[in-house]
Amino acid sequence: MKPKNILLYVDASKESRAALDVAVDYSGPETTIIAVNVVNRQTVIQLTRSGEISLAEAEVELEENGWCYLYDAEEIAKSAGASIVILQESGYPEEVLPRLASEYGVDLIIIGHTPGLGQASLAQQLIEHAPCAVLVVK
Amino acid sequence: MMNELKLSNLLTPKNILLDVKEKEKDALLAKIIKTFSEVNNIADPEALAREVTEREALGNTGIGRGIGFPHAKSSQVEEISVLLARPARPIEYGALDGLPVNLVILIIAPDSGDNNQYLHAMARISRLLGKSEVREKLAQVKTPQEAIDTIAAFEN
Repeated sequence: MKPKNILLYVDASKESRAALDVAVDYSGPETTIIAVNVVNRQTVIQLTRSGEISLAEAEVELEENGWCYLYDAEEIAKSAGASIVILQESGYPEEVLPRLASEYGVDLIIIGHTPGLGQASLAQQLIEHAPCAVLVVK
Repeated sequence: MMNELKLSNLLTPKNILLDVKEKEKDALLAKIIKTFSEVNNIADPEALAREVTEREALGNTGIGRGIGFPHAKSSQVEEISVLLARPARPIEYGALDGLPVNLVILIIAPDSGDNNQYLHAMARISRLLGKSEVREKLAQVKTPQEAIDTIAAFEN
């Protein structure tokens, strides 16, 4: 049985792109992919540590880049005939994704696994706290 | 960002509709596409309407916070073109967050154009209209030129 709602975590990584391909493959006629980009508060703070950019500039950069990834994902999914909606949230992915999964009745969360970028920790936390199945794409 | 395409540079008083009276999403989109087609001398408005609605059918373009953002690529435009509409009353749009929309912006890009420029234009617009202070100001403007000036002020 195909999932009804897939929550797809979208970022800049090639693993995220691989996760999108899996989400499209897992989609059936009644499936909606809910693609979410999270403007990670921790990354915002990290970007400002060098002092080269301000907090506001870091937020602008991450927000605009995030929307680009989302519209790119939307383009790819719709071109493949998959149903997709996009949204951007601010916060921490390990908190945002389980909350959205509950709010939107998600059957399956799909994330890409990016070694060395804390994704192992994200995957672990999602497995612990998500209200549904979690698929990690390598 | 690699492209500094600004919404205020794409807008003219002709491609801004304030207090649109249509009460339902489909009628609103039809009105927007009709006006867009007139302003941009679109050769086949019905084909453009199909391109937009077919994309819409594959995923609602309500991006939350009261914004509808229908978009498509089309061979009928030679450059990225937009139309901004403010409904007279909030319209049920089927957005994921459940909020009715107060602002709708249609963006059409050439199908053979620079995809990065298209993505960045949509990203910039999404971020801009995602700000509550921008939406609040646009809810109060009385003329299309005031809307352009408001957007330009936030973009600059």
